Amino acid sequence: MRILLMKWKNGMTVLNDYTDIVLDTNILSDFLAIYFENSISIGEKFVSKYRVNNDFASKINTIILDHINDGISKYGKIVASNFAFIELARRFDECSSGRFTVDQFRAFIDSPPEWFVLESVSSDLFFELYRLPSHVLFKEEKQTIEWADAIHCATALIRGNRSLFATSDSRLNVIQIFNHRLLCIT
Amino acid sequence: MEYKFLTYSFLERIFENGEKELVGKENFHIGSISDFLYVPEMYKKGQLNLSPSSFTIGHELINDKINSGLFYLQELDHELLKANLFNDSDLDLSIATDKISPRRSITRTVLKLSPNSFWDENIIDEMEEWYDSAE
Repeated sequence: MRILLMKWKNGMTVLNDYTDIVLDTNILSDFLAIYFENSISIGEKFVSKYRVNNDFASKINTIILDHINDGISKYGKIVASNFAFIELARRFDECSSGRFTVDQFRAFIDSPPEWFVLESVSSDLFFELYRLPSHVLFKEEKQTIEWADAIHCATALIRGNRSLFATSDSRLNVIQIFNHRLLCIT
Repeated sequence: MEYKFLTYSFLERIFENGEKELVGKENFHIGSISDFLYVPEMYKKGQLNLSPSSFTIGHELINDKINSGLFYLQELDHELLKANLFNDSDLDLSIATDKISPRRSITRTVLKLSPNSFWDENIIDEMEEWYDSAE
């Protein structure tokens, strides 16, 4: 029987069977920048760049390679909410920072790679949003988790209890639900 | 049958007042998933006067209306995103702008170009008017 629980090794999360990695908007921006700058669509590897560290880049490469090798990934997929794409579009110049064009952004949305899922904003998120705290105590200050941030968190939660959540928002580290499931990229 | 925009305020009243809020409201209501998903946000922030059980009951009442065909909450899926986010060769600036709230961006996206015959212009107008007055 396969081990279903997330492993925790040397302070780093380990990819397990069918583990999705869900990206928030900031990480999606960096992900797309690397995707286009490094020609990932023609077989190049993800590299550590911007907020994507070595560990995270390695996990992405594992997922991509797994799909390329046999077409069926045992490591899950890379996932972002459709809302992340809307948020990125709302702040396109800031998020893209000249690293990818509107045409490239559109091409990705039109034909994402098979290892990437654009997750729906659906009623499935309702009770996950309810479960998430509205505030967290971070660095001794009470800080609000805004609705837009919570949508990404809830998206990570509906992708199963083994999904990882890649975010640049280190405040989320204190949320109990995400214990050992955050890839906090700084 | 008259089609009406399913406002966040109406959703909020259903959660707060339960079934009695639905009496006599037999119009077909079309709304956005973003307004529905805003309910937990307002509840957690103490903006809704609800017990945990009313929260579940409200959710069930709305689901019943959806199942009986009187409410329709459009979700934002990949196909809808593809169809709405771009205008010819550029981003559609009615959606891709930070001059409106994220919630309104989703609502505009899900209501704008959905290929349903009931997606009447008056629904779009009602949606814009409601957000104008609420935000």
